[in-house]
Amino acid sequence: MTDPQETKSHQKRKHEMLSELYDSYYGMLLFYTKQLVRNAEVAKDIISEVFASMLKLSHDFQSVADAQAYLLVSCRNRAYNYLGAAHTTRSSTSLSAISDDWATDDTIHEEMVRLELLRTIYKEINALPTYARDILNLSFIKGLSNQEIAEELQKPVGNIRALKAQALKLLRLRIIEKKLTYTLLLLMLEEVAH
Amino acid sequence: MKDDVADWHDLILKYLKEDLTAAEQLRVDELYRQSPSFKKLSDEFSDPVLLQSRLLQFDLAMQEWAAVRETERTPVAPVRTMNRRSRWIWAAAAISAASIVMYMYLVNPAERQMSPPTAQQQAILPASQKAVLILADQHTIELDDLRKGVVAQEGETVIEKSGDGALSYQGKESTAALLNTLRTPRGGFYHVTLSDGTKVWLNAASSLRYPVSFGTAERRVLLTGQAYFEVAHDAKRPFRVVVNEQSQVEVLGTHFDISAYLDDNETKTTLLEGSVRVSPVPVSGVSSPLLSPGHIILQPGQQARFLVGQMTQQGIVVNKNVDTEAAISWMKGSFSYDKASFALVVRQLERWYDVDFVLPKHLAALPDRYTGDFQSSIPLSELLPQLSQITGLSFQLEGKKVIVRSK
Repeated sequence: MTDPQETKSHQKRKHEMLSELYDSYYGMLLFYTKQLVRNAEVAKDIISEVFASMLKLSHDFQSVADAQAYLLVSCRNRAYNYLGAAHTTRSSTSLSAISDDWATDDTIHEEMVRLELLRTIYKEINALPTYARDILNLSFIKGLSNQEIAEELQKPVGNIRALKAQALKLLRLRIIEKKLTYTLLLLMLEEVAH
Repeated sequence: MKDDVADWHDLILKYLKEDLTAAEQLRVDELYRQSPSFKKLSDEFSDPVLLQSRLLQFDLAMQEWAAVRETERTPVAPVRTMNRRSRWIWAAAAISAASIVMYMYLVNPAERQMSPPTAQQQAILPASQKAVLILADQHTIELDDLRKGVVAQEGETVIEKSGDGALSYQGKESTAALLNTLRTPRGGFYHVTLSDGTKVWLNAASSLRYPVSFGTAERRVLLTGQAYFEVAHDAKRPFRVVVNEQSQVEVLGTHFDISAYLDDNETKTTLLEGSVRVSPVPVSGVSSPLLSPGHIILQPGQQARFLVGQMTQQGIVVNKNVDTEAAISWMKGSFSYDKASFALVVRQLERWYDVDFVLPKHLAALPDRYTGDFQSSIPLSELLPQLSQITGLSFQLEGKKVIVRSK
């Protein structure tokens, strides 16, 4: 790391990784941070600060997953700071203190799986054919009743149940086909389909 | 945990396909018991109410993210050369005032001194190859959008755009009086080879009007703004440049630059090679102005200047041994100033970068003269600090305006 050339290329790699993450992970971070602070604007500010502070950090991330974990921990810490809550032992905002313990944080890994599951479901729903996407959007995401869905889609109520089951089956098939790593999703779909 | 997940994946796939052996079924049950995380997540995602509310929140977050993206994109989109990295740094800066400060420390300390970028500030890039071609039938063609190849055909002449973006006229010389106009916007320049082989480099905010084919008598073109000419020698057909429809330069195979921006209030003809005759007589009649007694003949290295509206022979000032390279520096990627007024420098930068300088009156009339060089291929944000050093004034970029203040 003493070689300035090498340091520079590390920096460059990190910048590229952060740039990718900004595009691919911002939405997830926003969802996560908003759950904690209950305010979209505050959450956005926190995310910006975290990205900006990561640039300054000399730490080199081994993988995208490591960087994601760091992002989540940083957002959480800043969210707790914002809330002024004592329910974190990481009261210090020192970057080094945070970066030392983030890698061993099991609850963050659980959080990453949780987010990944949500993203997968969300993504797969939106990749479905229009009719299935619409029906799952209304039922699964917006939480409308069969009656409301029938009105929205201008279809007989009697059809909605069957359409829903069909759409869920399709979603399941897609997920099996893609051999997604996150198997909990499959379990969950089993439950919901019944 | 990750390995575990991969393991579960296989098991669950089999489970779903109802392909699970009894032993595997036991393993699933075992894993379920052993991993508190697995159990917790599994329970959460099996709860339709919880899942639905989370998906709803997730959907909202994605829409908000899309909105953030949109606001980032709007100010940034026109700057195509901005790289990926700076785009998101920029975006991060746009969202939060706090991170603007950080951004400036991290990315470009030099830029910070001169032009603290506001969230909306986009990079102001130097002039690029841009022009509009107006054909004889008034049809217009945006040249910068075009790929290389034939652009149009006028009479017997084919107009082509070459690989480096220059325009050329090729074909039999005929007498058809079809006039084309090449016009550059502010922040644009262009290069054209006329049908006789004469090469013209047109500076920003200028226009050149010329016949697609010159015919057998004289070669005559009309210029507003600034252009550098390399005229193909042809003693039988004198080459004439009519400037702002008011004065005329006649040449016989020569290299020269004419700067005749109306807002500069002055026409400058600088000769590098050959011989030109500058005729200050209005040429509205175009009978034989060259025979009028009022003309001046320039030698290489000389520059004729006269104020617009004072085109008598007495009005012409001839400077000998001028820095001819300075006159055509714009073509070669730099601005060279030789005792130039601040106002002149400002107007040139305005045209080249397509910006407007906002300056108090007392600064506009500064009597100081400046001599120096700038690179003209750098973004404005890099040039302004240099200008600040030379002039002792402060320059601040706000959108497409440059606010000038005394320090």
